[in-house]
Amino acid sequence: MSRGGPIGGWAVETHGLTKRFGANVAVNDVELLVPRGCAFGYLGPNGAGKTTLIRTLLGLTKADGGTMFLLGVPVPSERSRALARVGAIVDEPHFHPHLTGRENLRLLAAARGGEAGARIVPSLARVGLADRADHRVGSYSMGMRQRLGVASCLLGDPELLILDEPMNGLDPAGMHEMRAMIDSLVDEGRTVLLSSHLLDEVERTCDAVAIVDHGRVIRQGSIDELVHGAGTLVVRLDCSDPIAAARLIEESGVAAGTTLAEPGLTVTLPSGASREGIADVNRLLVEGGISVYGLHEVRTTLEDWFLSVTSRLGEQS
Amino acid sequence: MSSVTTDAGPGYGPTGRSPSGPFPAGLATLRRLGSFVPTWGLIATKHLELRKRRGLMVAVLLFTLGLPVIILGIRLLFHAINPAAYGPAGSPSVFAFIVNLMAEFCFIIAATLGTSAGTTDLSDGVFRHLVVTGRSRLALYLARIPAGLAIVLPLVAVAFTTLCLVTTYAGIPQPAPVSVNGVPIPMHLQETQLRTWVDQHPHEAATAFQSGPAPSAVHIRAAASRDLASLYGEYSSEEIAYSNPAMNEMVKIGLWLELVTAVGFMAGLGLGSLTGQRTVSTILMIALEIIVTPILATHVIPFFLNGQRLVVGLALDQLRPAGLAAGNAQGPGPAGVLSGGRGVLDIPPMPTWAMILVIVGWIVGWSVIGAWRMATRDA
Repeated sequence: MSRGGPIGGWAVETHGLTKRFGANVAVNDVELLVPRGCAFGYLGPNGAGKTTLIRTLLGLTKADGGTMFLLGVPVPSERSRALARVGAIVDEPHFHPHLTGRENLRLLAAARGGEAGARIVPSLARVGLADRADHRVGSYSMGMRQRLGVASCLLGDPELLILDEPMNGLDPAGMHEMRAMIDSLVDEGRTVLLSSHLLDEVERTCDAVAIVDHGRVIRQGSIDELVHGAGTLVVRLDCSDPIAAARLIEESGVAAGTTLAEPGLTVTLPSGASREGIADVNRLLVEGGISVYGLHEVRTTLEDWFLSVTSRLGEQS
Repeated sequence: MSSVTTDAGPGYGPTGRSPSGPFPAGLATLRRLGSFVPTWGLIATKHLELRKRRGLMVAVLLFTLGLPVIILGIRLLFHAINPAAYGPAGSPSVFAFIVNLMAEFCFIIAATLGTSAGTTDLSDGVFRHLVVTGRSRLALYLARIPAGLAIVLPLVAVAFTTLCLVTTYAGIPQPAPVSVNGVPIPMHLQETQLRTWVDQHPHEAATAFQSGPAPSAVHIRAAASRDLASLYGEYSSEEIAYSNPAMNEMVKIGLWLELVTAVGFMAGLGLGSLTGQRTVSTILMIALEIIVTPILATHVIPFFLNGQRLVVGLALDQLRPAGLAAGNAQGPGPAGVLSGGRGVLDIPPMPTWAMILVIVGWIVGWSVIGAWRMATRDA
């Protein structure tokens, strides 16, 4: 039984998980906790060890150390029990090209057993492949194979879906469809763990993320918490005299710092400041005789945060 | 150093989505997933996957059913057009020739099918999808055995039945007795029946089986009890040369062909699963059958005789039914193969139990190796 966690346990839980390939440590002492019922992004640059972690979780390769639980069930000792409620696509979804989409699903449904065979038609319909189900997979586009991959995951009516780079090779419309599908799966109460290096897509799709670099998880939590966790507000100011405005703001102490940035000024409010702090800055400048043409709150994106985290780590190393 | 800041209460994440109830998998399903016994559905879908490979199926059809159909079809046609110049399609020698040819090519094509069955999930990238279902890897391996055999064995059976029908109903007229050194002996006698005939016809037996001055009845009876196998061998070779095998011999030959085919498939499957490379495995199996086996069958290596006997082709050849003439003795290599069989065995025979042990060892050994590799392979 896994340790602690929320009611019902974690969807995915690893402690000290390690996987080596010779001298290369692909997964390094990973502590990962994925809550149930959310979309969770596993983020990292190419070669960071994302796919290796997923393969290890699914028993496709053996771990060199650590413990793992899927839906509270220990793996690999009770792998079959755990995987009965898991659907996964690892790397690109591959199928027998000489078989049709329906026949490929029959093959996988037979491996799953139980009610999986009865879910072939609804799964195909759900991913929008009902019309092409009887065409050979060799004639499918990349997007259609991705969708067939999702359909194969749905055969087991999974509580947890693990999708490795699901947006790879998709055009904008395909990405939009995939996002909508992931949203709908999470709305049904399923957990979706997806790995990706596409930060923008993860930010739009996921509720929480873990950042992985060189095989190690360096941060994890909800996106809001991580990106805005420092509680700092950054404001872009457009005014008549940015230099005077910067001096005035710094002397007053209403801001933690200012940076001159053509054509205006960037003001960082103190940690924990509310949006009322922006009004205070405006008031200060107007009372000081400086014309204010615009004040815009600068939102930190996941990408900004990711780059700042990874650059800090780079500087430290 | 990792910094874990995960929170996990209700409303985790910006959307505030909360998990719904569990999606329990039935206990029966879980038991099946963990079991090493393949389900009917697993076997049927693997059969479908193999059956739908057009190129492979064309090759399987050609080298199993195609061989006898083409050869006999041409002979039937020629005989129908010009019966004076071309004899009937079926004859004992044609029967033996085609069976020996089938033994070679059925082994090769079954091995090719086996290597395909053992590698296509890997090469198509489907293996990891199958593993992720939680199904026992051993069950995935074992499902391939009936799936593949269900393709090739019926085809061999149909091909052999065709050959038997043509040999029986469109063949040369059958002599009523077997003529051994001019002495007529009834056909299709078993060893014990030949012994009885010798006891009852000592003078004819002496003429048939003894060279030089005719021995007395007592002498020939003594010779029959001392060396019945030798007399029976002489009788059989005459019978095989001039008359079709009896029904029970045909059944034995058919079963032997199926055994050769099944061994080829099992070895190909195990080797394919071990290497994960279809082309390499297929080339190795073909080389074993048309190069290594004929060489070892015709060249005795004194210090390696027992090692030679471990080659499955030699064991299968020695298990060849008595009603089937040995393959055309044109020596080892492809020339011998194409003229029907890998040639007469030149190595001393081994006991029947040893032949069976070698054959069973190949089937079980390759299955264990293939299953082990499949169970331990990174997907």
